[in-house]
Amino acid sequence: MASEFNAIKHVDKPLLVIYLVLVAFGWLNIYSASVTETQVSFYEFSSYSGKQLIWIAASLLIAIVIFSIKNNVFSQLAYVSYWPMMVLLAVTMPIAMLLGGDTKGSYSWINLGFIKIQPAEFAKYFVTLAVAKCMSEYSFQLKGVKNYLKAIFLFILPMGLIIMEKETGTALVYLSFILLMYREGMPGLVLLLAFLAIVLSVLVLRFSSVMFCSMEGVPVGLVVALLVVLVVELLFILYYYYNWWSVLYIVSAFVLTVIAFVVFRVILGFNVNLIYFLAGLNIASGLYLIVMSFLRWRIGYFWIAVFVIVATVSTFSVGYAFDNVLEPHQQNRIMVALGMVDDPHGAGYNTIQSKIAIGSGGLFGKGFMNGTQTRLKYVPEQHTDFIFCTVAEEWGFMGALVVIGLYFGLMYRILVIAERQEYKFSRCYAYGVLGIILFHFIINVGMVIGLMPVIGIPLPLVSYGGSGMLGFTMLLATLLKLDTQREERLF
Amino acid sequence: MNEDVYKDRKTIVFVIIGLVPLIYLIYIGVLQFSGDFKDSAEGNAFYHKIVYAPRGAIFDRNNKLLVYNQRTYDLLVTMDKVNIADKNGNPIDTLALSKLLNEDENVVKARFESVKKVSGYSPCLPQRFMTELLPEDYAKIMEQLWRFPGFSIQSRTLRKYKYDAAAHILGYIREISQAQLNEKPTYRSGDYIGDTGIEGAYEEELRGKNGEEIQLRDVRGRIKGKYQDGKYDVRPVEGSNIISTIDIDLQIFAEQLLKGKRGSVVAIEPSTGEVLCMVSSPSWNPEYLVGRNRRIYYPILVNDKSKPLINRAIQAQYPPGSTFKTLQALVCQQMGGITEQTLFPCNGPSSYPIKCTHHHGSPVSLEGAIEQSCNPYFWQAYKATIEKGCYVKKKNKRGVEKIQFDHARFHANYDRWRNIMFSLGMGFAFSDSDIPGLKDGAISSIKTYSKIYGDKGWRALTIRSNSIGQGEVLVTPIQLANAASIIANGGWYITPHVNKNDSLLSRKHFPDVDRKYFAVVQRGMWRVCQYGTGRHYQIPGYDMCGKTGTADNGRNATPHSVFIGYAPADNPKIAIAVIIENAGFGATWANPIASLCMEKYLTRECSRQDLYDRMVESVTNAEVRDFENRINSVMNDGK
Repeated sequence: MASEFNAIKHVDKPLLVIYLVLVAFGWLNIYSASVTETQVSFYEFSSYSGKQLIWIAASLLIAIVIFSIKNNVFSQLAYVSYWPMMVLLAVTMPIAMLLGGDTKGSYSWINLGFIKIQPAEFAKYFVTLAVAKCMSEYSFQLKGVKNYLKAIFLFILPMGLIIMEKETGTALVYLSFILLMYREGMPGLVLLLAFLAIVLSVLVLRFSSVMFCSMEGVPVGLVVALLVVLVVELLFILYYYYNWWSVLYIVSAFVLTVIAFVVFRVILGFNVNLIYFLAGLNIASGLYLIVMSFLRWRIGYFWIAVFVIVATVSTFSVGYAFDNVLEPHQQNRIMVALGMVDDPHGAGYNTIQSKIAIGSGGLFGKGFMNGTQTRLKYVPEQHTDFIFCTVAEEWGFMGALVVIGLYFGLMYRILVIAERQEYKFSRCYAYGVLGIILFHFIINVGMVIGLMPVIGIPLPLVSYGGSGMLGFTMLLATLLKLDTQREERLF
Repeated sequence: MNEDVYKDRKTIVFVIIGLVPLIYLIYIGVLQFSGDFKDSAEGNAFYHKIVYAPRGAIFDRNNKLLVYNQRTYDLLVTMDKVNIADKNGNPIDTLALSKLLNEDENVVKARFESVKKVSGYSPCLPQRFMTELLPEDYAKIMEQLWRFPGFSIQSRTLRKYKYDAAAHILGYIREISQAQLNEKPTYRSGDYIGDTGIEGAYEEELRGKNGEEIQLRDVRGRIKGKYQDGKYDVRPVEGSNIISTIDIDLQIFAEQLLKGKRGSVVAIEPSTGEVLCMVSSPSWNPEYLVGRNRRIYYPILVNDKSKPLINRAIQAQYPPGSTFKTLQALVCQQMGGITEQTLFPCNGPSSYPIKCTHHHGSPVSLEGAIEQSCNPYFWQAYKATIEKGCYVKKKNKRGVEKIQFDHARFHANYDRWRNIMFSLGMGFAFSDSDIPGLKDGAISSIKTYSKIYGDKGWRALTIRSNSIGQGEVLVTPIQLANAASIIANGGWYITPHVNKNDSLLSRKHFPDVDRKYFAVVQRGMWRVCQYGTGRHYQIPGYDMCGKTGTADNGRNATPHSVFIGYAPADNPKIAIAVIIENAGFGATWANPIASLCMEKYLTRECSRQDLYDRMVESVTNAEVRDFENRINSVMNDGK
């Protein structure tokens, strides 16, 4: 074991430095955000900063242990450790219910008396290992439904378990494995379609109450979304088949539809709804493409038709899904992030206070321990999920620049490390880590600055929280250890 | 091992991990540099507590304290702290508290409930539990305060008045209005500001500068101490005291004399222009407009038919009546219309176009005309003055000489007459006085007359009423008093003012009347009080000069009783103007009141007690008496 630990000589130093700086800077901000008048010393272990210090020490210890493990052990133990982890996740909710109930509405915490741990936080580590193991197996290729299901199952399972614990935010993190799958061969079209789905949903929701040309029951969002679907359909036809005639037909159909609508509505005076005209046009163009697929004997036309019809129907159901599937507080958070409602005392409170705190920071900030918004507890959860706003208030734009720069550096280093791996397992694992950190970064910072809905996940390595610190340290330490393999071969 | 065919996709991944931080950073920059949020942060966390500067006191000319501040104490309660103490087994002992406050226990218990209903109530902020505790109660309560968690004491100052007098001249303070707030950025909502009188004129000096304590407030509104240990706090600067020119004894004396009458008294020290007293009746006790009283009394003062809020001494326009003849005598001499020796005939009551109301010999000299208040004399003098040189022989087209009226010359004469009157303080209000709210008097311009009568349609005869202070001539009492002061000084005056230390106002004004013309008027005024209309009310032991006036105002109204004068005749110490509205002859009301006031000022006492009593008890205006009775009974009911 001791000889294994000598691999530390070949550790990727930039990544190690970034890790240590983020942890240290994070701790300073936790101290500033949580210190109270009664606290006497930096180290008082009942305070948040004191506890975090213990967790940091424990994490470093774990990192040392990880460095002492032989490289091939990680892939060998990937599946072996995955299942006990799943069992732990599955029993977390019953245990949490038995021992003291929920923590802020979630059943993801196990209270061991002296500490509280959140298995969902370090489950990421074992799931990443398992997904990497699965995707790096010799016979595995991201082709065919079976292989996809195999890989997806590995992270959908913990996702489901965590959703059951009512920790939706943490569950969503597992979607980040899409990045890994993309790198390993998942068609880019999937990413594009996912992106399109998000754009359409946002369009429909954001402009659901603004009426197009002030016509009753014709929301602008829906009109634009339907048009976007039509345009994307035309682009697909051009991109895959370069079929200008079909495009011409569909565009003429569109013009005819608009004329028909105007005739019915304005000249004949029928109270017809523009939405149904546009939706009808989309569906009709889909049916036309199905006919084309038979005429030209090209399956692609059929898939485009499927896209158009599914997308059209989905645009209609976004509003319904939003109203009926999401819980009210989730609806509110999304509406606040989209700027649809201004609710300074309710769902929008966190975001507004956080924006105020950030906005008052200025170029150089108010100085360490001098952030008035922070010290006076205007922003809730300031030491955990909203720690970034302490950074921006007390250290100003320069502080934000440094922290965001460090994250960019962190992610860039992981990318570099991932790409230089000899073994597919290591590469897959690295991309898994990259995805997780990227997802946390996008959601957490986006939420703090008000661009994303409030989803309670921490800022990696900086936010207060022992399980999170432990989880991210394990992820990065293993990555660093796997990376030392490349040097081993030289000797 | 599979071949790595998707290696290029790292570029897309790189773009993502580069783009997201960049977008976020730009957005944070927008948040931090747009400045939109900086103020809201301060509004959130900073609590600017105003430390009020004590307002300056006001003294009278003999350094008697008139207006001062009384420190009162409010007992405050923070319900949050009370509740916490209650939970910790330390409930408020309402019985002990009620004993401490000298209140019934039920009243105290009810206070706890009513405190919560105050608008803007917050359990975290101190609320007023009892207000206006006296200093002796304060000491007692402070000793016991530790027994009542959540209670605290805040001090506050109230404006207090030593005398029930001089409400108009002192002015009052009130909460600043929204309109004033927009104009004055140094004030905050709820600040007090001086309104009218000395409080208004010397607002800046009296107010001082409020200080500010910046406190930090947490998300629940709890005060968490001073920002940066008070580094940015501002200490208050005390307001400076004002020593006024008022003689409070004289002021009170004059106010008593005007009880039941509508009118005013203005007395000036001629050598300095200092206003010794300025009475406008009806008046009220200045305490009525302070603090909680204001809500009760202000509506009464605003709505009363006798209009007590008007300061008649500086804001009411009256025809000066015969008192104007003194000025007329000066201007006519100056313009060469008459000389000291000029005699005019008087046909008594059958004179034309203006009757004489007194019986005296004819012809009459200027001195005698003043003594006897001879209307025909002053009409003829006026005509001789403003029509001087207007009748000229001119050849017409056929070469025949004819007497013609030179209108241009007449207009020039009239304009000169009017300007000299202005230089004597008539017409426009003093521009350099420190008394706020002065109103103009009036002497009509050529333009006005020409508009009514046509350019050539008027001559001296048309405006003959001006000659005896009727018609289009209007003055304010303070202008009349100043006129008396000019005559007393023999040709100069200092603008009447109320601040004794205001050296800016000690500039002499010299009217456009040669000083040699004053002696005859002074002698005439002395004769008035010796042999003429004012002979009944001489000040015992002093020579006084004066001129009565009985000013007609409307067809069926009793004339105003007017008097101007000064004393002692050889070394004037006080000049005075008295107007009693609709009371009758100048010699029956204004003259005795002026005489009593001057005696009071000169000798500090009143030797004619029966005259004084008669004046105080007489009622010339029932509305005023009604008002006085009403407003004083409100106070008694209140107690």
